[in-house]
Amino acid sequence: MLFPSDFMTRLEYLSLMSRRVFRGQLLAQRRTRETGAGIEFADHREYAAGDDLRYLDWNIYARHGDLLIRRFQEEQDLHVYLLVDCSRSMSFDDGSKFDLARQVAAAIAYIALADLDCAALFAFSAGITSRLPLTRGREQILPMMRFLENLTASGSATGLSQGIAEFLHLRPRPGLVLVISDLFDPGGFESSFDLLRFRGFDVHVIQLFHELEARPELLGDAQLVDLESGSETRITITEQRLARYQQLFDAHQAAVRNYCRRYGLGCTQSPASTSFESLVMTMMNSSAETQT
Amino acid sequence: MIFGTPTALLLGLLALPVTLLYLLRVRTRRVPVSTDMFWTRVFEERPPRSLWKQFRHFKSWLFQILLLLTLTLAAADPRWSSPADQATFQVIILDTSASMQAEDDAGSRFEIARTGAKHVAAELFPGQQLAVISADRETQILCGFTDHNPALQRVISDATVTDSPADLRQAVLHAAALLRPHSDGRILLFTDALARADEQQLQQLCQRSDSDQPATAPRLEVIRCGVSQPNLGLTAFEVRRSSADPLGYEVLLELTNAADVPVSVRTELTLDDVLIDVITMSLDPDESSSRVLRKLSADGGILKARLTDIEFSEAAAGSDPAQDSLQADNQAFAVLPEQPPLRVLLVSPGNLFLRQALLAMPRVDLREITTLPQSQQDWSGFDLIVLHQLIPAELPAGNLLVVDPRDDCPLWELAGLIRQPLIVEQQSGSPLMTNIDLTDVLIPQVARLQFLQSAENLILTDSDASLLSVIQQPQRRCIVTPLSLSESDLPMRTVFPLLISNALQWFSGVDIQRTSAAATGTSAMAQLPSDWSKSTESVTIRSPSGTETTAVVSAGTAISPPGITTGLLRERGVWSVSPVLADKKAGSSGQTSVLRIAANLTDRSESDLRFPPDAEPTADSSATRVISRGIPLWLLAVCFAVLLLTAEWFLYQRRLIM
Repeated sequence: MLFPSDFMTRLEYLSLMSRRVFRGQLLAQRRTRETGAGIEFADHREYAAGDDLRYLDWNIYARHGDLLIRRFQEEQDLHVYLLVDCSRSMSFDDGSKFDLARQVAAAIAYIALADLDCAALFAFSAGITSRLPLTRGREQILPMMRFLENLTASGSATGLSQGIAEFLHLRPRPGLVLVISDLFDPGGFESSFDLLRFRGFDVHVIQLFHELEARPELLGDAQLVDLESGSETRITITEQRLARYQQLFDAHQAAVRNYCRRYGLGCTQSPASTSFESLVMTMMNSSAETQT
Repeated sequence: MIFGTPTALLLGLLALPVTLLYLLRVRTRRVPVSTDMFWTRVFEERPPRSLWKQFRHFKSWLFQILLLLTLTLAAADPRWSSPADQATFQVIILDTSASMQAEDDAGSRFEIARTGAKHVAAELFPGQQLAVISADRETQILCGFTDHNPALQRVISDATVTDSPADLRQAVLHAAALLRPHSDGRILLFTDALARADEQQLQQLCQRSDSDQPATAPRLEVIRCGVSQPNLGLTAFEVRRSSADPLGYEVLLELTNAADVPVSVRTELTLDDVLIDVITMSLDPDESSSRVLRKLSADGGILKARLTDIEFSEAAAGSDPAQDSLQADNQAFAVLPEQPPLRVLLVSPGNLFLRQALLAMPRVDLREITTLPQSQQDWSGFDLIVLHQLIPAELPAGNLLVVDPRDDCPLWELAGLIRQPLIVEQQSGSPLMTNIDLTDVLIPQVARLQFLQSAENLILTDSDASLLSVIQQPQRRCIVTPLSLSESDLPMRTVFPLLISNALQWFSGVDIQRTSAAATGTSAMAQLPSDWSKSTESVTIRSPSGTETTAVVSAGTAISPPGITTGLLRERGVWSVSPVLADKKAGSSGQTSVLRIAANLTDRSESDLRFPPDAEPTADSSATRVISRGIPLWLLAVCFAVLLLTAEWFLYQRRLIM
């Protein structure tokens, strides 16, 4: 079962833990860079003609004679966009990769809704296949879980660029975008994430992979069937070739990490056997490191 | 190399279907993967070679073809030699002499010979037959001609080495006789140190054995086992009772150093396991040294000589000292006969000198009477009867010492007196005359004896009268002296007790010719002990290892008492002979003594383990040639096939989906 009976309890615990440990570092309580009508003091600036005298700091003026305007940090709702890969590669082996992706999406959505932020879900493969619009409020978690439960990894090939392009065509307000995918896109992932960065989105990449994808236990004659393209390749796998495969896979993983590090993107890479709680905690930890 | 089953080579044709199966593209397993973008790059970088593209697993195909060919080779039963190299009828002579017990790093020489013989038997071609002969002093046919390999293997395995010297000439003659009906024969002689000259003589012996058709005489092939080794051995060990001392005995000990380096040794001498002497000796290369030891013991027993602490000098600086290689000649045994008490009856009117002289002799059990016994039974039960002056009309049976006879008897008559006799001749060579000289003895007069039987006169006077005579008859031995103990001063001379001692020693019957130890490989003759029942018809002979055989007692004659002749003494050690009838009938009485016979390997040629310079084993003449050639090639092929199978299994596992 994708969401067992204690799933909500685990989500609540996870939400509490995330707030206690990573307060204001991920979701709604993250301060915007805008100053304005907030209630929390930010700093002072020189008074300029036309400024609202209500914000003049009279105490400083009385003591020092300087005219300084108090500035406040404006708090805005954070929009969280969860992009879940529904390509067929996510259903590899026992589908544990896709299950974990949906559980992680549900967890993050719950945390966001619990912090009074807005969350939206997008399922993509070669494009956006289905979506759940922005919603707010803790009570919206159930519709989100139903939405995730109804998702199937039956899409075509992983088309990360097409999915993100269609996502951007919807003109979403800038916010936090979490891409949950295996990133097995022959066209690459860099251009897609570049688009999100250019549009001012905070991007966090959650890359999931199966253990058999990282270290396949294959030797001898085999007819490889690509789950996404359906193409078949008859090969003889030797230990030498297997080692080369593992080198290429590790290089791909390293490329994702290096890209995210270079552009300040959050990045979490995890095998499918990890529990969603530990993955979310790892993700928050990496986000905290990225922001610091 | 030839093949015992050449038709099996057809199995090699199976290589064709194996290759065809490899060329066929069989259905492979379908393995779903998330993406093939990594695999595609792998195969773009390392495309398969076009030459062997059809062979999906070239190494595996190669191993399987080799495996098939190896098994085909094994099934074809390859051999190093061909039937033309061998003969249709072959005889193996296994030298089972004592020197074949010599050990070196490769084992004993006999083990090497046995292994070689087994390999020869295992390599028989169909139609060939083999016989096996063992050769020590006596030749034994262990197995007649047969091609049944298990029987041959069993016979060769059961063959044992003996302590006997070898008589290879006799064995070769036997083998040649076996091969005489067959025109194509070969004799394989597994032995150790056989000189080239001896080998040529044996070869000529084979030629002469078939004088009718010398061209078809069997070929003799000598296969030498082992390597040259140093050895120190006991080459003589005898013991005998002393002829001069009734309690003494003499031991002859000879050691031979059959080595090219000096050796030091400690020899322990024990009598019934009681240490009586230790002799330390050093011998130069090829030196034989003998010692004669004089000891005292009234009791008999088993005398044993044992060599210990044998240390050969280093042959060269830095080289390890050699070890003694043969144990069979490091021990020797001899039987020392017991010196029984001498029961003496003195019949004399009374003479203190004579009585004291007899009592002074060790082991004399003296009984004295002053008058002649009335019945014949009173004479019985004595080993010696001393008659002084009193002579019965009928002499009793048994040994007699007659001093100053005063009457005639069937052996002599008194023929008057001789005044002032002058001694002119003394036979000093007689054991009775040892240390005896009566020249200065004052003899006023002496009776002249005229012997009625043949007598040996040891002391003669100028009037041709005998003062000391010996009469030997089948039923008795008799010493007669007419010297009067009261008229001459003989009793007061030192020579008197010496004369009595010599006479008792002579009567005690010490047989200095008696053999105390026999050589292995010979048979021994022994007289039955006097305490055995006269009705003993057969005896049980027990070897040192416990093997028992039965022998028939030969009937005694007037001259020689009953005795037995053992078979060949193939084992060194102490053999025991016990009466069969005595055991069955005497029952619990069982006090009958056991006759013991010692047998020793005292043969210099067997103790010399060195190969003659012209007979050092070469690549062609050593047993290793036969053994290495004898390893079945099919077995090697199967072993190689197992290796190939292991390699193929390894390759197969590597290409499996785990």
